[in-house]
Amino acid sequence: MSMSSETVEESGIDELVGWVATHLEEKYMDGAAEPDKEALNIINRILSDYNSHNFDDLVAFLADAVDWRKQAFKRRVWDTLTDEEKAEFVNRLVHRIAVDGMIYYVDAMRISAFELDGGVRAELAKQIRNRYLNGTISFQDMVKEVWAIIRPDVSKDVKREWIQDGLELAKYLDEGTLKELVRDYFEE
Amino acid sequence: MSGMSESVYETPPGEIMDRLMKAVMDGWMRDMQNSNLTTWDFAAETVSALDLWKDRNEDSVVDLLAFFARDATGNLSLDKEEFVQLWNRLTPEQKEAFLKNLYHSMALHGLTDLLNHVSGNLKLNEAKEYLSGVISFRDLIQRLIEKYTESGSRSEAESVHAGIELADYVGGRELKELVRKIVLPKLMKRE
Repeated sequence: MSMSSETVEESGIDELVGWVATHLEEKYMDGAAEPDKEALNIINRILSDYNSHNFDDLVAFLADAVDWRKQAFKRRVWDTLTDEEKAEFVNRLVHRIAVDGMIYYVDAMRISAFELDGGVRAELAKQIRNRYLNGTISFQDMVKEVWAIIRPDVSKDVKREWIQDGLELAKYLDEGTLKELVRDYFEE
Repeated sequence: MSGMSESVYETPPGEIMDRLMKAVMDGWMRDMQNSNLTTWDFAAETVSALDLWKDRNEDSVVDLLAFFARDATGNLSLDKEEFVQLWNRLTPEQKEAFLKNLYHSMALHGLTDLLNHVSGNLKLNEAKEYLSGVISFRDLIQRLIEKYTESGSRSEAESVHAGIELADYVGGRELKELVRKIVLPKLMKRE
């Protein structure tokens, strides 16, 4: 996805988010060993700068992602947004990165359960997923239970970290989105 | 829970093993019924999942057993904390004995359903050959596999193979008794 300086100035928040998110994903997540972890790093970086009003660093980070000079990005993108639009842009960007990170995360659970494990562990993982989808358990419980059952080859400490990553990412997503992602991507 | 932790230390190991067994088997049956696998496949898969990891990663075995125990009905159900508390009261030898009994119970369930399922595809003389010791149980199942393969039921053929795995966890005499009780009457009625 490419944008000229003219189109950036004319584009809406949706397009801006799409443009920046695509570049962030390409730069940090695609090809990473744990893209979901990278998603969390990106989100933490954006929110930390934004919440502490460190807009200079935030602009530098986003400009670097889209391969623009910092001043150009500031003048042609950031400064054209009102404060409300900046907040909306940041919120939507974080949401988009969280969705993409969660897709990788749920897919990692799918691969672990259905491709690497299989058998009874896969069957139980399916049952846990269904309990989440029919509202019997929370997303948090599903993640904890699935990782407890699958991948006996992975240590408890590593699994604890994986669980933490999933729960962190989930904080940025609403229940409807989470259910949709689990329904679509945690499928045999 | 506090009452539980006090009483656990007074409970004899035999009772702990019974309590754990009831919870695990009941939950296992429920999970098996909710799965897409047949009883014998589910049994063979569970036994191999436990047996493969019991000496390498006990945590993963405890997680799996506790999952089944949690899914047991009503009062039989144990939450993870309760399960772990009871499990940790057992010595390594008692844990080993518990697993051996568990494999046996699961194998019996699996084989019972398997024999009910396949008996129509066996011949009376094949069952008699097995019961009189002319052929082994493995041979009997192998013949079934060949029949299913010839008739194009590859998935049935693969599934029936679980019978050979499960037979390892049931005594020879007990296995013959199962065939005598389940398969023979059906075949004699048909003759």
